[in-house]
Amino acid sequence: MKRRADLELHLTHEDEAFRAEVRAFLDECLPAGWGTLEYEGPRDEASRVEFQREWQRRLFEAGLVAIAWPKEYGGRDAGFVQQMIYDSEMARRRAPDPINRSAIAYIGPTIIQWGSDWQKGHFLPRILSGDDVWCQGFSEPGAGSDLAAIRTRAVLDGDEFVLTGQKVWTSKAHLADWCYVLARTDPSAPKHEGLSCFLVDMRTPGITVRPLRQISGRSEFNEVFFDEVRVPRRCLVGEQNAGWRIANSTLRYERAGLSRTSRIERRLEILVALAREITVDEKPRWEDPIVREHLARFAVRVEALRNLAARANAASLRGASPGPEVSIAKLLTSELDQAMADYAMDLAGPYAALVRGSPHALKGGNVPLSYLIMRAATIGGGTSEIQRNVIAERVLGLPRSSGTGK
Amino acid sequence: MTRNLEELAGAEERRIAVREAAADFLRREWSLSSLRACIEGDGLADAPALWEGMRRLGWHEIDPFAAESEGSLGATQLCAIAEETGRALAPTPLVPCVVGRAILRGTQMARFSELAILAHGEGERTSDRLRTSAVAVEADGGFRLTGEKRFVPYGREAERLIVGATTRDGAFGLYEVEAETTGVDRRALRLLDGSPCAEIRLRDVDAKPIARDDEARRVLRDALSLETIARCAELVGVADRALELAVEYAKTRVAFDRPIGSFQAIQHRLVNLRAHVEVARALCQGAARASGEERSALASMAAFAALDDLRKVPEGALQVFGGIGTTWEHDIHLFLRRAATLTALLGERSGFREDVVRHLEETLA
Ligand SMILES: Cc1cc2nc3c(=O)[nH]c(=O)nc-3n(C[C@H](O)[C@H](O)[C@H](O)COP(=O)(O)OP(=O)(O)OC[C@H]3O[C@@H](n4cnc5c(N)ncnc54)[C@H](O)[C@@H]3O)c2cc1C
Repeated sequence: MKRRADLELHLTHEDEAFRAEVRAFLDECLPAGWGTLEYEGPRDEASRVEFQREWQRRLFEAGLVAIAWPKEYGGRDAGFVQQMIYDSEMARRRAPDPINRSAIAYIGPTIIQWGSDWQKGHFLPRILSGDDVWCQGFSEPGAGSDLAAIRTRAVLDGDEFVLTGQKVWTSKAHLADWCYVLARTDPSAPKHEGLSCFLVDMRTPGITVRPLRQISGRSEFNEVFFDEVRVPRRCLVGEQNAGWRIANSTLRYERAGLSRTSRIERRLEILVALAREITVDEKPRWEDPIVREHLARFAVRVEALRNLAARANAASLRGASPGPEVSIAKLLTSELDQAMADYAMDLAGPYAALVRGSPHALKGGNVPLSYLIMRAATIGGGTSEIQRNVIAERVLGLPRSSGTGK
Repeated sequence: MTRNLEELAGAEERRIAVREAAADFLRREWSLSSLRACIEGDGLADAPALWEGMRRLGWHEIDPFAAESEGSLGATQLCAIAEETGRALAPTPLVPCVVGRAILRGTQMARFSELAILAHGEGERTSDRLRTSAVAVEADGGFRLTGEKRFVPYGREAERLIVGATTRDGAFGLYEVEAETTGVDRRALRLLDGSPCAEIRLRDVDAKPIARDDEARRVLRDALSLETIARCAELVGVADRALELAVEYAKTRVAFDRPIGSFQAIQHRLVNLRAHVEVARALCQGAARASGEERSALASMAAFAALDDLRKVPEGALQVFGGIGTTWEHDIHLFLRRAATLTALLGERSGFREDVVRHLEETLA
């Protein structure tokens, strides 16, 4: 398939050189066949993780993990144009995710924006190198959409905070060295005012991680229990009881990260390939005007989101917390991603029912597997309902619906 | 289809009675933990006992072409039961069994208590539902069949297979084949919902003709419409129960100090899902009451609506559960899997669409 033309930007010599550098890196480091629809990536979780660790190590050695970050912490202070070049080259080659993708997208930027000098100097380089893998401990059994309802407590005792409580849906906690935790430091204050953010070493005594199985059969998220876990004061992010503001900026970084379009670009490509391959009445689905109508609609939206997301991302990666508009990009990207996975089921007809390991399963059973995995797209990172509420209240300025707090 | 209200009310009462009996039976005999074992690949361990129970209740003897009358279990009752097996997510060969028996009975060749299954699906997708690529050859005063059938529910459990085939001179016929005989090769297909399905290869297999030409086409058409209606009814049940679970959850899960069911975004989502269920159920019931060509057109309408809307019901229900809905432990994905599987195997959308449009043309003409 002919790939999209390069970005049309006026490039300086430096920008040209940067692009050449990224291309040379990708040529050298991507596995042979990577990015083609035939390429079979690592299948089981252990080798997937190993692959992502190795990929991050290579990016790190080339100084290409997070180019917009400050030089002193391992970034390049790259500007908007180079970030666009970077994103478009990575997307063009369907580059894999580094192991710390989420930490790079939102925990690092949070530390850049709010962290102490010690925190920046200690954590940021280790996030980039992949020496520390991170997870995010926000959601709890009784607090997901209503995040400010969390009950995990942090009590100051001498020079340490003592954390007790339970987190849930914590992605990667089973692999993580560190966890970014939101906890309640002042239970007597109003809901949003007694919260604080912490950087917690996962090896501290008192932490138990219990993997949860997802509907895809994979186990990528967990329950995490904190039982009197002692966290040094220097691991408090920003000021005590200022956690709600900090956590909200993290959520926006996260939403910007979730609106990366590489995944929907990839899925569109897969849909087109499916439509060409699958026949009904001996004609490829691709030739059916109804199918073309659907694919055209998807293609138009993917194109729009490329632009929308690039703007959100570029701001975010520089450590300038994006505004509430970022919810628009997250909402549209995740819903489109899900809609395309659903449509793949429609296209595949009876073959949509065949799972991996079955005779005649399409693409190793990936169509139904993606369908299952994509259920989470409109839940993780804030549900679609919550994104719509944010947009209604913060972007459109509509009156807040009663009872929904901040 | 002119029937007085009293008759309709009587039929409705019987439908409800059958439905309640079926629900009661399934509650006792089937649980979602048995289904989980099927999905995990442990086979159908607990299913045969369930089927035996169904046989004892005589469900396999439903005559779906019988006129509805006191005591007879017609297509309406079949749908009522199928809706309940859908709600319970019970993997049962009820629908294929009744369809198979209906074909044999329709041709005066009824036999009891054996699973005879219509093996009609193919690898090559087509909008012409009657089409078959299997070939019949006359030999030694009998017939021999060669062909490949795919997506055959309970194909490996069947004792006999009913297959449509054409002879070299283009004559279409329905044939019966012993499943355990030389030349029949059956392979399991693994489905998203763990229910049994097979691919069947026939090579020069001894076959007994059961109907030819127009009669065969009519019998096959009626059997396929019946199968479509019953599968839609099953889908309605799956969707209905998934929605019920979401509604229950919306009443109890609290966010922002209120039950999430008090947010209009959630209310409207659930209402829309309920509308999908109501529409599909109404179409199923209408199709079940009809007969012949009319039933066939109404069956395609039910299928068209089901393809449009019914998978969306467990999808939307899952969204209401938030994070917990994406876990293996929670039951909602079992409904999603069954709905997605039934939808995938229901048949080609373009075929149903053309049936509906043709019917529209005829009724307006
Ligand atoms: C794959 C995956 C990975 C995740 N990874 C992490 C992670 O690493 N770290 C972490 O902290 N969390 C993580 N999460 C958790 C995620 O952020 C929450 O699941 C999400 O915020 C929803 O919260 P909840 O599950 O408690 O659902 P609830 O908040 O209970 O929501 C239930 C339903 O109610 C709706 N609802 C709630 N409030 C309103 C309202 N005011 N108006 C309208 N509708 C409303 C929701 O939209 C949803 O449909 C992950 C989730 C998933 C699915």
